[in-house]
Amino acid sequence: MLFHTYTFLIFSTILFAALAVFRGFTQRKIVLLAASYVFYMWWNPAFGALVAVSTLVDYAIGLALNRTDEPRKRKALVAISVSAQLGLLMYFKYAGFLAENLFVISRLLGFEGPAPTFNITLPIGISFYTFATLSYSIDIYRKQIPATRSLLDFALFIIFFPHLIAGPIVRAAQLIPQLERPARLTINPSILFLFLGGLIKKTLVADNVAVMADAVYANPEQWPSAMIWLATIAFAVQIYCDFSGYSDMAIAIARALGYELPVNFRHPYFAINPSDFWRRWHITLSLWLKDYLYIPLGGNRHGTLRTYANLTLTMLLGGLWHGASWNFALWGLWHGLLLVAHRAYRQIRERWLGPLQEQSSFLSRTAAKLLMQYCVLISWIMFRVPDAEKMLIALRKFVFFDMNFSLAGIGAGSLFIFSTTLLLSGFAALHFWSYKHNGLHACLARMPLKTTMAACAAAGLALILLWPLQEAPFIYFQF
Amino acid sequence: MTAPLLTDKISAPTIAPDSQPQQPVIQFWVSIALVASVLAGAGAGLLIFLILPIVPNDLERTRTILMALRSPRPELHTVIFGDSVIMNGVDAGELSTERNAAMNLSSSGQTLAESALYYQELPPSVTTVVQSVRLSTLVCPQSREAALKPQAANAFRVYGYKPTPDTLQLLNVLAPAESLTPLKENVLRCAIRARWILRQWLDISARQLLRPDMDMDRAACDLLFPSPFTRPMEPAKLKVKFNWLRRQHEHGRCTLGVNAAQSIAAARKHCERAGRRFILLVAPVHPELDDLYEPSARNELKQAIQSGRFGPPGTVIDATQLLNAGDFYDEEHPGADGAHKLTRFIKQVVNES
Repeated sequence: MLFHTYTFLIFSTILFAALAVFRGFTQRKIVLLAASYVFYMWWNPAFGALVAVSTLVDYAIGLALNRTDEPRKRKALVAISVSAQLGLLMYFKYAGFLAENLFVISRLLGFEGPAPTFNITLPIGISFYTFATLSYSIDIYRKQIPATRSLLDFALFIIFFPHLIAGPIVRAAQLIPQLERPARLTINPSILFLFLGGLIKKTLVADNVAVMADAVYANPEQWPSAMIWLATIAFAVQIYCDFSGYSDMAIAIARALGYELPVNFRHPYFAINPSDFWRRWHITLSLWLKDYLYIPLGGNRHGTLRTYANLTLTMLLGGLWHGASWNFALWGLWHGLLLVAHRAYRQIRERWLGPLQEQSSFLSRTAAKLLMQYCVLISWIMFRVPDAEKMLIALRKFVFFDMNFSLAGIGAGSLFIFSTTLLLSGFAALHFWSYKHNGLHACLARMPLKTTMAACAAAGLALILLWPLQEAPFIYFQF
Repeated sequence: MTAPLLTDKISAPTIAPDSQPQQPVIQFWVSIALVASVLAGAGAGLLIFLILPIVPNDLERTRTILMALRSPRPELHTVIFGDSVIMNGVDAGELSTERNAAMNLSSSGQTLAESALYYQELPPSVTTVVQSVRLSTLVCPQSREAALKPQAANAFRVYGYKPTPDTLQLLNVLAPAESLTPLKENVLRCAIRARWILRQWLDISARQLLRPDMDMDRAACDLLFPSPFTRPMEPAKLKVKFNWLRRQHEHGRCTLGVNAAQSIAAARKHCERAGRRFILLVAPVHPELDDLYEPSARNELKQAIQSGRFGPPGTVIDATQLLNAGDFYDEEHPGADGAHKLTRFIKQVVNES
């Protein structure tokens, strides 16, 4: 069930009606829990049981952790939780990948044997809820939060449908306290604009610019550098609008239900360096990786080289979190190396020129933003093209610009240059405005009613004219 | 009682709830007004569908062809259907005689199923249908979904076309059942599906700037020699294109498809039932691409033509090896010399038979 489908419209109407009928504090949570299970099991009913088992295991371990102060017991309990959750993730997501690679290695070593065949269906959103459950048991182990005694609250924290499938990755400390107090159903213009903005990002921008990105990346060898650039920018916008659009809709739905989810994006394409980028892109994931991987690995506490290694390893694993494929690992590695390069540059610069000044010039900030986005665009090619040969062709054409602007030889019906460029320009203008005004939905909520009604009518017009004919799932659903 | 949360130790992102200065009830009604505005905008958007039939797009040649067939000339005797190879490769003016006019009704990407949609519109004066197909359609495995693209089917509806039961029966042989859906949709669904026209309108405006080598106006309106491709492609680009096509072909084994033979037989029967001669033209292939087709597939095709599998002798024109490399502008479209050669070749067969 996708947020932008009729099915979800019917689902949410029934849910809000049910919540209006059942006004009791616990009753509403039971309704929400049931609705969340329905939402999740819509794809594959069998996987509802998987989430339920994960929930019960971590609930029990949480209570057990609460009851004991003995370090060895606590360590054993958290190890069981982490092994169970990561074990499931490894089985469903990485077993096939590992087997394939072991097979290749064994062939290289001269062993003969049949190729392994794995036909495992990936439970949707498993990476997201696994991280949520992991953070719960680790936080209790670290005594940062207490275990919740309410199974209902814990189960709802895990399966709360707005964040379940594609984040934001919510921590127990953020959601469970909210579940412990009554929530109020809220419909207001700000929520409406947030949802509408997410819907527009997903359906009008992401799904429409995807047509060009898909066409070009299917055969990068056929296209000149200019088209590879345009397709890469199109994909950068597509993935941002797809994912942040989902996050916006998720946050808006949660707010309407009376709960607050964490912010996941803060205009990442205005980042001035790699660290800044990860403070703006998929914020809940980068913070998760920092708190549960980078810092436990030693963070920056064990010297320069170890810090670099920790950064690289964290990002490499972060890349693999997206999917069991080498291109995601490469994408993560690239970002790790960017972080290392940036840290090294800062250290060298500070050593030779003294501490960096906070207020840099407009020109240097713009140059830094452009350089950063150039590196990000390179990373999106790695992310988008799983085929190694095609990826190399696309990267070569992207980096070594061929100055070929002639489009002769391209089929008459396969050009989407102008409409895509127009969409990208429209998006860029709105995005810049949003960046300058600290969010478009908040800005609209402050405007006079007449203006906002006109904006809504324009949005309705755009939706009817540009809504894609074919339903496209969210990119991050596959992770 | 729960213990105090030590959330300060967690670097989770801060949450910024909206400031809500107004009363919730007012806000609720303001929200309702805004939702109503969205719906009003969407409603206004529906009115744009009224102008879609006149908006320029890649498939507007469909309108030109339908209009020509609906206002027939009594001297029109021969029509030629096919894709852009035929648009560039056949000059119907050269094919015409004083009392026997011919029209080139091919269009970009026109498949056999798409051509078949026009059959019902042919005026009674038409006695000969030359139907072109590509060699790849006959001998290489490809998806049946490509037989009738949803956009092409939708374009027919936008231009006021409605298939007869007889046509639908023929299309059931030529294309998968689900691809016929756009032809059977009600007006509203058809209009909603037709939004691709708006996007194409933007894109073809850009193409006119970016592709000076293409004559799109002529491609949309000319019913004799539409010839959208006007000049040869640069050799370096052509080489890249050949290599790409070879790579695309690597995985498929070529063999004469059962479906292709059945489809052609059905189209032939349909035309002959209406009292028309059906001539199958297998379009020319660039000599550089000869190696894409295995010799066995070519032999199979030759045998199939000789044995009459595609129709009686004299009603099948194999032009696959008719043209030289210099007769092509690019990897598939004949140039002016190629078109002259191909037209003369067709004329000979049409007059003989």
